[in-house]
Amino acid sequence: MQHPTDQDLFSCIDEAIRTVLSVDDAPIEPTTTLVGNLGAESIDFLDISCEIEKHFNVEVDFRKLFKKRQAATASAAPDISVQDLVEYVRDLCVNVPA
Amino acid sequence: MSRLQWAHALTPSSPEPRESVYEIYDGHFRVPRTAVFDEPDEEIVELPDGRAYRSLSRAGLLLVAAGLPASTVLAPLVQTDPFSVGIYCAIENGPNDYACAKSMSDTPPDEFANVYKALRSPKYYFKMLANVPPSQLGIFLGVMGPLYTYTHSRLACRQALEQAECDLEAGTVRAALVCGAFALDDPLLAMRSRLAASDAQTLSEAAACVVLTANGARSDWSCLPGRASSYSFGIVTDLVTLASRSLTDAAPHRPGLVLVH
Repeated sequence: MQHPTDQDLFSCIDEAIRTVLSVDDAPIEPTTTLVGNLGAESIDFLDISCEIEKHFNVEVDFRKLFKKRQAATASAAPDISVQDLVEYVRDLCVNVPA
Repeated sequence: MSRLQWAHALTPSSPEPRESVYEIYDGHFRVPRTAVFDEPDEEIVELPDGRAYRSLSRAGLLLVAAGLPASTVLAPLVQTDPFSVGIYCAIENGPNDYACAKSMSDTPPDEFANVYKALRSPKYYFKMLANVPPSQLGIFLGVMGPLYTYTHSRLACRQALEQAECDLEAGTVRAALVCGAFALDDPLLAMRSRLAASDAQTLSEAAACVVLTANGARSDWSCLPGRASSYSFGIVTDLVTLASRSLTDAAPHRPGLVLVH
């Protein structure tokens, strides 16, 4: 199975975020943060993970991603950028058994 | 008797009742003599937060559409003390998940979990909860007082009014937002409401909202007008009747009173 490119991943994640958070006009860049810039809440993360799972058949665990960001930034309340999410989903897709 | 400060009711403008045909079950599910809003769900109301579209049922959207304009009378109270306003709601959300159920019907057991997950969103569950629409309305209005939701198909409005009356009398709240909504998107709920109405009545979608404040005496809401109308609005019939009657009796000191078709 061919792994999705970063562009594929970004397009899909962009669509998932726009669907869940109803952001039609706001620009979504790799540096856009889900909480700080887009106001996502806990239930939105679950919703976004399900939308991504529908496309790539991988289970996105935001809890792990937040912990990863927490360790990397040493911040008590880390935020996740779209690029962080793209990289995380890319890693998940690479590890999916063919 | 509590003072009715403001009222708002939404009813469809289509004059002629028509049969509601539900595509699920291949169009065999039909409910006669109905009146529905022509607008699709996403056009019923412009929500202050677009994310709520994914978690509000059609009845929920109608409720918010009827209740949002109440901010004109509630804003001064909410700004002073958001806990001084309560919400008392009559609404019932059906499961409204027939499309998913139909898609699932031929799914092999070992694929069931994955297909089910793919067909639904985690927020879909919220559409089935009766207390989500009034909670969302409360968030939009900034109301933080008590919240009651009643789902009895015939008595919910009176229960809401009684509880509001009780809280106003006890001084728990200074204003009560009594609201309700009824939609026909769920075929089983529509059919049950159709059977509860008389044959001559048109079963109509509707939403209504009234704002009550205390005036020192207790109201007897059991003397609301009867149901001998040409329309049945399901669970919200009593409240639509009350709001509509208030418009008819509108006095100059109630300038906010409107009935929107």
